[in-house]
Amino acid sequence: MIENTDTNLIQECLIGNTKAFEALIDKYQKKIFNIVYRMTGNYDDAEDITQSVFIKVYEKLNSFNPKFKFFSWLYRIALNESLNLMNQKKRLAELDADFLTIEKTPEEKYDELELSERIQDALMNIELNHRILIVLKHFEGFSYQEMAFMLDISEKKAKSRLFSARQVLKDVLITKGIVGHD
Amino acid sequence: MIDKKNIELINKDIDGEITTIEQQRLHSFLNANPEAQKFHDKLRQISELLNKIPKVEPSPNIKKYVMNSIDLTRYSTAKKRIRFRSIFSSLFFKPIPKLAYTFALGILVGILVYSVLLENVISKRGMDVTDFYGTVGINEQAGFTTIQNIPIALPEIKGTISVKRLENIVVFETDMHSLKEMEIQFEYDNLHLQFSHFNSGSQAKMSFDFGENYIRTSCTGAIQYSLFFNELAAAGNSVILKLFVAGEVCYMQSISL
Repeated sequence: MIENTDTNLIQECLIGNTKAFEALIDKYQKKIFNIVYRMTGNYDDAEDITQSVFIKVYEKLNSFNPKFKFFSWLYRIALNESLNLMNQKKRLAELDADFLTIEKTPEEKYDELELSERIQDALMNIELNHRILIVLKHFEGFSYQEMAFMLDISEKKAKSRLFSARQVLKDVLITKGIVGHD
Repeated sequence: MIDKKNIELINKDIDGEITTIEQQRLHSFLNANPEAQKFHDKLRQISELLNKIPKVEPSPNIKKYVMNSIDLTRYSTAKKRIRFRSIFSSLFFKPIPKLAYTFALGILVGILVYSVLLENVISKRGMDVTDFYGTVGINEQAGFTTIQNIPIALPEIKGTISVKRLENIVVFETDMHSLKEMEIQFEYDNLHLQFSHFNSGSQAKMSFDFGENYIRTSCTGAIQYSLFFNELAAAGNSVILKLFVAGEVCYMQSISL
């Protein structure tokens, strides 16, 4: 029996078997969606990005280098798409003078939010470079080597950046009362 | 203040990548530094908190949307190309076909070499006589010499029978015209002569009959053909030529070879 590994599924896609691509979507859509959701903090954006990631992956599938892991390549595309969208939003926010007025106070907000959303909120308060590493390590459990490939940085840099990210997140979580003070 | 080395150890511990020796070293450090211990505990608490966060369920429509947005035929042409490539490769690059093609190629090369060599040998020895040149008779350049020309000038039959020879090959070239049905018979001793082959040079309808020691042709009108014999005995051979018209012998001659 032929195993449905990513490599087999990709080969099937490349000979026109669209069912194989559906299988790849089934396998990875939840993971990609979650990673993008944690990066953007917005459900609808995460959905749009997940869709565009898979469309892009399909279009570029014939340029995929099989010496790399498919999911690393997929996550790399997902991260780039997330960053692009967030940069676009940031530019729009800068143009919109009223953007910040719709923000609620932290007290109001935390009353409404579940823990998951409160952590998401804390994540959105840390730098993008730090957020990426927290998401990849703690939500997806990637190794430093995999994270380094996805972010196109050295393994050492991935490690030191994550250490800093943890400290920053700790401070934010304490400030926001999610984790108790000493 | 926690130094860089211990920060690294704390993070290693959080990641679950710490070795036993490092673990012991970290414990002693944390026991001696309450501030570092608190930092470590907080990071661990955060890590556990993050690990508890459940996955968010995406909308079930993602796949549908993606499948509706992509060009499903994008790789179907590649499929044909790859199928052709795989057939091509199975025809030429797999071990068994490869062996078969190599064998066939070997035979072909062998035939070519053999035919070139054969042609060289034949042209040197002057032995090509008929078929290779597509002629009805013999190849004049092959070196045949005429032993005898027998002119026939009967009221019903006219023509010539030429007897030619090259080494032990003897040829009877027959070029005859008849108004009535005629039969031409060559009688020979099969211990001395062996019939080799026959070449016809005319479109006339002709019947051909032969026994142990004779060959007979019968036809009406113009006829041209050559009979080839191999001489088995060295000398003293002869052939008796008989011509028949309406079943009656009208000409007979012994031909000494």
